[in-house]
Amino acid sequence: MHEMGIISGVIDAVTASAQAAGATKVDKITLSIGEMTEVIMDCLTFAFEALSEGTMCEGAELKVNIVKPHSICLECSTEFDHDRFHLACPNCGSYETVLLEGREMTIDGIEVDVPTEGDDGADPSADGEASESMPTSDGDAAASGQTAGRTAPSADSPASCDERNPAPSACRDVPSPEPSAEPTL
Amino acid sequence: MEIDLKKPILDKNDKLAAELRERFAKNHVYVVDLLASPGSGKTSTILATIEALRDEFNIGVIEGDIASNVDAKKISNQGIPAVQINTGGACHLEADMIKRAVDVLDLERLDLIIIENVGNLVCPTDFDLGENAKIMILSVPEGDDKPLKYPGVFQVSQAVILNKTDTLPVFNFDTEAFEKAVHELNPHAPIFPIAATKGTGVDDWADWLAERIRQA
Repeated sequence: MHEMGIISGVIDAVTASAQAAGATKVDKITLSIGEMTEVIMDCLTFAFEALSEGTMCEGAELKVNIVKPHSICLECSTEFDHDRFHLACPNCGSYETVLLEGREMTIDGIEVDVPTEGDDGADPSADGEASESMPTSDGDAAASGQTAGRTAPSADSPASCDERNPAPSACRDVPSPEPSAEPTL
Repeated sequence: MEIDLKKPILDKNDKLAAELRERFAKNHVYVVDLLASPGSGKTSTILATIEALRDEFNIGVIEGDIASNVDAKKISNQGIPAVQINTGGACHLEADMIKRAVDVLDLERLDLIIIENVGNLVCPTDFDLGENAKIMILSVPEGDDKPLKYPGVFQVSQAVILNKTDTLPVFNFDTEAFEKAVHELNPHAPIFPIAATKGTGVDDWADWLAERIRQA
């Protein structure tokens, strides 16, 4: 259940960037998560809902792009896609392979509301300049969600269920209080 | 307004881990992060490793547990400095916890630090602690199918210890299938079959580790 720790890192980083841009609210957060990590999407969504409450990220859309594993064979230089369990080169059968993509854990970008001067963001569509502060259209959102390489964007739902571990029961733990380190000798 | 971030989510942890790695290297300390399930014999393996290496190296241990200092007491009873980290519910150790523990240890005096991570085959694999090597322990009673169920931990480990081999006669554990599955996930990781509480097989593992400590 390290998704709590991961999401609290996301919220901290996003809040810092949004505040630096003068934003008052975060509308959307786009992450890329490699399939070879141990992150469970359901837990990520659960953690985000729980931890964003009362922050400027509350109510924001969490979009997660799942990055499929992609490796290169050191024997025959074939590049190939694979799943979490089958890493052998499909061309020569070698296990001497190096993972090129699939362990990503990245905040790709965010969309934020920035109140315009003298307007306080009350009606951001009032003038041309302010229209930038509106949540982007679907087309823009899709463009911002793409990353280089073989990123496979998830469904339109905020975070799709990870097929390999659909059980939400793993989401029971709570974030830790300050850990203590005590010398015993 | 769109803001392009392209920032690693674990940026803070990774930066802290890099600082720790630098500090360890400066002090010529080799650091091992032990990953395993609860009850697989992590503490027994640490005790057996200490026994095998203590004549040549100064060893310190960082014990990660959700609660209690039972394990740290077992280690310190052997005259080895041990620091207990209680994560208070968290399922894995993070670099900032290690930093606090390391601040308590005398790095200049140490050659080897063994970090016993929280018993868990999933979450600790995603966190860099500044270690030189993640080492995975699987015990025979857990079953030979674990590489198929938890591939991540076998992939990130530089060596795999198969513990409790003295129980092989009573468990239906297919050693050959286990070795094949580990090899397919991680062709370069050696597998060390040991029975930590009996001392069997510990020398091969200790020799492998000693070679790395001398180079640190």
